[in-house]
This record gives sequence, structure tokens and C-alpha cells, in this order.
Amino acid sequence: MNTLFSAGIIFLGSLLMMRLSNRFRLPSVTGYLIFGVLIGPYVANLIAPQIIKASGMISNLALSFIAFGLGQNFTLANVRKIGKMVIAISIGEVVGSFLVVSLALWLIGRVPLSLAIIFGAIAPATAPAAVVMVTREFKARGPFTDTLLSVVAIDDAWGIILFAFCLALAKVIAGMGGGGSREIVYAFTEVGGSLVLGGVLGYLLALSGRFLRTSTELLITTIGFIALTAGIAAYLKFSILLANMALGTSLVNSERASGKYFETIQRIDTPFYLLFFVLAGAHLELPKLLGIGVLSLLFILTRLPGEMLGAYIGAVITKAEAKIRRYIGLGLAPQAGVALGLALIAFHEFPQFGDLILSTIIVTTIIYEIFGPILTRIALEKAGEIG
Amino acid sequence: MAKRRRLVREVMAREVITVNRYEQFRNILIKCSTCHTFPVILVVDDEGRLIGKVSISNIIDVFRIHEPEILKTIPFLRDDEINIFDFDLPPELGYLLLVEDIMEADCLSVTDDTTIEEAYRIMKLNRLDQLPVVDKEGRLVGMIGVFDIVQAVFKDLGII
Repeated sequence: MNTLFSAGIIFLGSLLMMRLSNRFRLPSVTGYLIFGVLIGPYVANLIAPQIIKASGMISNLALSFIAFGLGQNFTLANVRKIGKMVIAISIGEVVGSFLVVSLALWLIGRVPLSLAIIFGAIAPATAPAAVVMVTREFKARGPFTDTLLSVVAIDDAWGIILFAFCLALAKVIAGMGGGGSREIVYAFTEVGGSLVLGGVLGYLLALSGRFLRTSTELLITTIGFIALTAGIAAYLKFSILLANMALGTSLVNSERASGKYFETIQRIDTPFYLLFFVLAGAHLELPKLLGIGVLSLLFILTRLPGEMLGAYIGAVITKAEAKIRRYIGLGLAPQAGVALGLALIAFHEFPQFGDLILSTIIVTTIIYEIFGPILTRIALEKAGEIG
Repeated sequence: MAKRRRLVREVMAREVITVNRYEQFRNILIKCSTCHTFPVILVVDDEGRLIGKVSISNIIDVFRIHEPEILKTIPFLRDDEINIFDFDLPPELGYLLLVEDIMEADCLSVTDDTTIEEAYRIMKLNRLDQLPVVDKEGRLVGMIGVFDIVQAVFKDLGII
């Protein structure tokens, strides 16, 4: 199996799977993932080993694009526009699902603390595209829908910050990064270093705009800076995601006409995302599925209540109306790309638990991508906003 | 002999379609109903200062008017997922929606003393076909398009 033949199969097959999953009203991501499982090493074995080997780089690049895009939300004007309620609910949801999932896996699932923290930090990731798809399909309108869409768009940014912190913490707890009583300091250094790195490079990217002549140069420069940020972050053992989010935030705050940098990436990112999802599916170790059954079940059963509880607390604090308090967490059920990406990072950072983390998250993502949109629809119905 | 550098004010169009921020959405559609393609409409305040623009992408965004702007930044979600042929919008939207609800407030512009080479570079870099032109006080004085620049170059070459 040569690399280009594999790439052809991946792209064309994914297009068919996207159409097929949309026909069954499932998000495209579900189609890509299932296709990845089907052409992966345990079923049809149609993916060249070189592509599988490159999956670390592809996922890092795809995730860097996601993080870079999320970073543009953090301007003072935007944060004001988003409002206190959305910020409180989204932070509540992220902290709630993290705590409930980590504690459940640690106390009930009896997994090591470092692993429980990693699973907990992956749990808050949601699937904005799936939620938007449901609101569009059912023509949902109203304050509940507005809040839900804003929360689902911003919560992954908090999730990435939390994950970066937890990954550093888990590495030290697992005895991989120094040990002793310096865990928290180490985690803060990693987070702070990532922010400074992204901040400086974002400022330089904004400055570079003066010397660019064409949109092609703009594209090359933007990709170059994203890759450079990821590369330096990896070298310094910082968080690739957080550094790229800081790159986007620093850029948007240093350059008035920064929209072009984000738009240029949006024009070319689809093939990377597609490859990323198919390769994630291909990583699913089918023979180990039975072994991860209990862990997956525990993750699935605790993630949603954690999200609901945290979002509820955030809504109560900001005095949100009753229907938002009650149902917003339920609306956030879908889980997709960011969760997989975080799992892939954990896969590479924690070789001893890598397969377990990735396979569990692939299974839970497929399940949450199938049932999540249904739960979002129920939340919209209960809130009385389906038109 | 060194070539004389032309300035934007020498080649720009001075007749520009403008509206104020409180114009109703339906009035823009009516105003442009005879246009072959939707032009860029510039939004100015009472002193004539440029405060935004409305282009065809802002008109299409009316189909997403109920979605928060923040969604534009999220991955795996593309505009073409909206089926504009199967969409319910209330007829009163034409009256209720104002220019300020749909305009792009952070629009790029050049000053009238910019060289046409620089204006051309900004357009190429930002994938734009035209740019509003303002004076030193930010008042709108015209619009420059790629065609204005190309035409000036052809003139210099003696082709026209």
C-alpha cells in the first residue's frame, strides 16, 4: 500500500462517508471516524504505515489550527459581548465535567490518579458543529439557543487551558517530569511558558503583515508561524495547543485587520481535519474494545451529569432563567474533534496509557456523536425553542 | 527618469453608494435591485466618517442572524451548511433589521494620499476588489477598485 494511494482512498472515501452520515442526520465527524475504523489496520488495512506514522504531526497541525482559531475570541470587546452568563456557564461546565469524571474514574474506576486527571480534562470538550447542526435543522430560536451556541463555541477554549494544565500535572504525578512537591509550579511554568511563547510570536506575526504582498504569502506566513509555534512549544515541552491559542489571541489584539490571517487558514484546513479524524478512527484498537468497556461506560455515564451540574451552578450564579439553568448542560452533550485531539496528544505524551486513552475516547466520541445531537434536540424541545 | 508614483486620490471613484447605520435592511435590497451584482455599500455617520461597510457576504449572513458571531471562529463548521433555499425568515425582518446589525464595522480603508501600489498590495493581501478611501479625519472621500488601478497602469503605458 503506497502513501498516495492511501491518501486518495482517505479523501474520496471520506467524502462518501460524509454524505452518508449527513443522510442519517449524523455529523460528518462521525462518518470520518467510522471510515477510519473501517480502513484501519484491524479491518481493511488500507492506510499506508507511513501515514499512520505521520499521524502525530497531522493531529498536532490540525489541533494547532483549531487552537489558533479559538484564540481570536479573546479580545476585550468580544469578552464583553459574550457576557458574564455565557462565561460562567462555560467555565462551570468545564470544571464540573472535569471534577466528576476524574473523581469517578479515580474512586470508582480505580485507575491511577494521573490517568483519571487526563480523562477528566478531556471530558469537557464539546462539539460545536454538531450543536449548531441541530439548532439549524430544527430552526431553534430564543434565549436558550443563543446561550447554548455561545457556550458551545467558547467552552473548548477553557477546555484546552485546563487540559494543558492537567497534562503537565499528570506528567509529574506519574513521575515523568521531576516529581516532589513542585507539581503545581511545574504545571504553571508550562502554561505560562506556552502563553508567553504564543504571545511573542503572535506579535511578530502581526508585524509581518507589513511585508506581505499577496494572499499566497499571507497563507505561507500564517502556516509557518503556526508550525513554528507548535515546534518550539514541543521542543520546550510546553503545550502546543495553548501556545497556538495564545498566538491567535496575541495576533487579534495587536493587528486591527487580523481577520485575514484566520480566514486564510479556514480556506485550507478542511483536508487536515479530515485526515485527522480518519487517522483517529484508524487508531481504534478493535481487539481491546472489550477491555475498555467499563472505562468507556464510566466516562460516558459521568461526563454528561458533570457538564449538567457545572453548567447549572454557573447559570445559578449568574441568575440565568430557569430553562437555561435546567437544560443547558444537556444541550452540550455532543463530543467530537477537540476531545479526539486531546486524546491523541495524551496518546503521544503518555505512551504507557496511550492506547487506553485514545481507544476509550474514540468509542465515547462515536457514542456521543450519535446520541449527543439527540440530547441537544431534547434540550431545545424542553426549553420550548424548536420552531 | 524615475516613474511618478500615482496617489489613490488621482484614480479613485468619487461617486459612492453610502447609507447611514439606521437604514432598514429592505431599503438596501431595493436600492440595489437594479445592480448587476451587489456593490459594496459604505456606511457613514452624520459627519461623513466611514464606520463600516455592507457587502454580499453580510447580506448572506442575514440567514445566520440568529447565531452568535463567535460561531464563525469554530472549526468544522462552514457557511455552505446553511441551505438558503429552505429557510424561514419573518417578512418583518426587512423593516426590523438595520444596517448597523449587519454591517462589517472593522472595515479596511486607505487614505487618499496612499500610493496606488500600496492600495493594490492591500487589496491583493486581503483578497478585496475595492477599498474605501478616507481623508486624514476619517471622512469618506471615495472608493478605489482593482480596475481603477489597472486602468491607470494601462494609461501610463499608453494603451488607452
